[in-house]
Amino acid sequence: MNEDLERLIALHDIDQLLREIENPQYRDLGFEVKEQRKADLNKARQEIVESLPESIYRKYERLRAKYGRGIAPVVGGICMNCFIQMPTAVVGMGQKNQQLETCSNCGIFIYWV
Amino acid sequence: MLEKLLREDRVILDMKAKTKEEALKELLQPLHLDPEKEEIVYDALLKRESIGSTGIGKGIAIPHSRSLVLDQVALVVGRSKQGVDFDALDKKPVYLFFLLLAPPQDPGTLYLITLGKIAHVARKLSRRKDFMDIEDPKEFVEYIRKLLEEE
Ligand SMILES: [Zn+2]
Repeated sequence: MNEDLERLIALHDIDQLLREIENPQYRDLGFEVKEQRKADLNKARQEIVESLPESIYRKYERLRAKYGRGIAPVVGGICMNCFIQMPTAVVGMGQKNQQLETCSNCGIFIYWV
Repeated sequence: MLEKLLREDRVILDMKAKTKEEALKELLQPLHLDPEKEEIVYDALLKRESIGSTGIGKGIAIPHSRSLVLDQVALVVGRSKQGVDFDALDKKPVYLFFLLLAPPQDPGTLYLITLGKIAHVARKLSRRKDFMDIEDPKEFVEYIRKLLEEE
């Protein structure tokens, strides 16, 4: 897998977790969330940010401001952000996720599930 | 939903793990994810644990996470006879695990609803002990199904 793609996935998963623990519906379930530990999570996030090329990170944040996330999975050839079918034969099976790609329709970073 | 997620082939009745890390790794095994994905999911689970243990007390833990690399909701149930130090809220060992995983996209907050149902069943289980003696995965799944149906 492309290294920057791997970093973007980790970043996405942290951002999703940070959002989830603020969700009142999640809070109601009663799982332990230690407020002071959130700083550690943010530190881990910062380390990933620093390992990413700046242009990629800036784009991720731009996309996140626009769509609520910077990267989306492609499931069954469909981008899960805009729900448009990806053009087939763009990349062969073995090459998927070997480079950082964006959706040709909405521009979001994509990960082929 | 939860009924459908309960599968015999995703039940581990004799977990070998002794630590939190080993337990999370062992619980991922029945899903047969490719190693790259498994590592990402494991990492997401550890990050969730880092902000507070999902060991809810009374011997039960419900590790959970969503990850971009997952394409469906999955549940693995694990039982440890010797118990695992999972840094649980009551500091007691964990004997029963419900691992819940989900993709990021989540129509109708299904993931949170399922998580709530698991927590509910877990609380019922925490008042029992007989499930520790079941040795057949099929029987084990039936046992939990029955608890679900009692709603
Ligand atoms: Zn798209």
